[in-house]
Order: sequence, then structure tokens, then C-alpha cells
Amino acid sequence: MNTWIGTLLLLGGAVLCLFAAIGVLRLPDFFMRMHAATKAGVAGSGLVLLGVAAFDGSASTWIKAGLAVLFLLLTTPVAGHLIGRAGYVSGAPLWRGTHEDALQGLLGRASPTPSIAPASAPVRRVVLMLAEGPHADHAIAQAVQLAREQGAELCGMALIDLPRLQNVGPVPIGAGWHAQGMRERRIAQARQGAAGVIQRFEAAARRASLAWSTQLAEGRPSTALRQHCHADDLLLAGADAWFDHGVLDLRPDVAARLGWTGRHPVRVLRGARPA
Amino acid sequence: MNHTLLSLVQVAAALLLAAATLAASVRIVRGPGAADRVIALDMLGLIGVAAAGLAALVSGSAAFIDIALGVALVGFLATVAFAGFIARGAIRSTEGTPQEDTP
Repeated sequence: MNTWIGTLLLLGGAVLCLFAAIGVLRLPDFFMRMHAATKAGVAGSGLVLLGVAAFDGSASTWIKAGLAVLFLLLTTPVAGHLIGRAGYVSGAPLWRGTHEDALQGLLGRASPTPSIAPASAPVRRVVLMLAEGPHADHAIAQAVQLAREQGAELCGMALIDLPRLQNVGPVPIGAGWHAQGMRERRIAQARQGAAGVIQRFEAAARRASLAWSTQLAEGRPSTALRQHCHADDLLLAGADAWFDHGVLDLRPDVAARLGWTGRHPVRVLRGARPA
Repeated sequence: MNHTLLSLVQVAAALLLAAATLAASVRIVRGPGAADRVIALDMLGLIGVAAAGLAALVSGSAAFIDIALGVALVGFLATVAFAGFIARGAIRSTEGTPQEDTP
């Protein structure tokens, strides 16, 4: 009989421990993680200890296991309360679905989004996002100059916004073939435009005798940037251009649309419009 | 209950605790803040208590129960100490990369 109870307690406790750890891993903000760790963790460890005592059955083991459970019940709430308070005071962010912050105004709180960009962070690499547009040549010249000033490597990143180019709007029934041809034409044109800018960039970089490289990525621009760039990179972009390379004549706000979160914000370069 | 089933239960409990350890360790590595790491560390301590109890059962040595008792008694002190540091701002606890020391 004791072994069955022990098995139940042991496995139940181990499963609760696993649930608590999954909660610590998966829950979205600090306070929820703390709640998972303290409640489910204590219950899990306590049940495992009681299960061990049930297996063993001797009085001394029961007393020790019981004492351990008692201490867990006494100490973990203290630790949970203190670390929760410390997390709140130091500004651990709340989940964005949070409706009510009951401690607002009662407890001082550091700013939840401290600046992560020290003003003097060094630039390791100057990345120019190559896009065919009215300011492309000016942007290339500016990028070369900036890379020289910063003593940084120069990288020309040609992106091709495939999802945007492939979006031809609603296709009427029977026009699928035509739509496909349109997509292919657009992508081919964009590749041609990108190749032209890359050539001009390479010529300028070679003249400047800097360490330089080029990169070509096709797909969603923000995703490609996150894959190929680091927080220390300084990102430059020519104004009034997008990675359709003039095919669709898009002129969005480049910096906003890229959603870049590195240390250095995207700098948009605008030169005199060529005559 | 026969002996095989008993050892099977022990192995199952050990595997569950190992998975829990792994999950808490991933949270320690990921952070993103010091407070999150301290909570994951606290969780590891609780799993340690359970693991010590299980070790007592597997090895048949009652000394491991004493270890579980000791860890249950003092395991929270680390969390309390870290909470003090974080509340005083000695450790940055919020998201983002740690600030670089600039002269």
C-alpha cells in the first residue's frame, strides 16, 4: 500500500516540478514566471519528498521529509515575495496583455525601457542598404565617407523585397497565368536594378580602398536584416527608395518599415536630386 | 509491487526532473533580466531538493534526505540576497544588453 502511495506522490511531484519549470521557461513576463516557480515548484518538491518518505516508511525519514516540506513552505514565499518586489521596483516589464497594475503609485518603479544604446557605442560595420532610387549615388558616397571616418568595414547589402513584388493584388479567375508572368517580370526587373546599384557600389568602394563586402538577400527585408546584421552595425539607406528597386515606385519611410532595433538607428541619406 | 516497476518509477521521476532542470537552465541562459535568472535559479534549487530526495530513494542512503532538508532550509537565502541587490540597483534587472562600461 505504501509503495502505491509513494509512487503516486513521487511521480505527481516530479510532473509538478516539470510543469513549474515549463512555466518558468514559457510564461511571458517576469511576474508570471515567479508565480510558476514558487507555487508549483514548492508543491512539486514537497510531494517528491513525501513520496520518498512513503517508500521508506521509517519514522526518521518521515520526520526529516516533513521538516523539509515545512521549511520549503516557510522560506519559498519569503523569497518569492522579495524577488517579486525587487523585480517590480527595478522595472521588469509587465506582459502587454496586463489589464491592471495594482501597485501603480504605491511602489516606486524604475523606467521599464532603459536606453540600451550608450551614446559612444563603436560602429563595427557601416551597412548601406542598396536600393535603386533618386538618392542612390549620394548614399553610396556618404556611406564610403562614414566608413572612412569611423574606421569601420563597409558592407553593401542589396535586398530584394520578394513578398512585396509578388503581391499583385486580387487575381481574377482565369488570370493566374498572367499574374504569374507579372510576378516574374517584376522580380527580374528588381534584380536588374539591384545589380546596377551593386556595380556602382563596388566601383565606389574599390576607389576608396576600404575593407568592403557586398551581400544579396531576397525575401522580407526586415527578416533578412535581422539575419545578416548585428546590433553594432550602423545602417544607412537612401531616401525615397525601397527594395523593389524602382519597379513599383514605392517611397515608404524606410527606417520605420524596417523595424531595426540595433544600437544605432537607421540613418536615411537624402542628397540633392540629380538633374 | 515488484522490483522492476519500482525502478521504472524511479527512472521516470528522474527523467521528469532532468527535463525540468533543462527548462529552468534555458531560462537562466535566456534571461532577459537578472530577476528572471534569479527566479530560474530558485527553481533549480527546488528541483535540487526533489532530486536529493530521489537520490535517497535510489541509493537507499538516508543521508540524502538530510541534504534535501539542508537545501530546503537555506536555498532561499541566495534568492533573498539577489533580490536585495536587484532592488538597490546593483544589478541591472531589465531587458536589453548590459550596459557597457564607458570611461
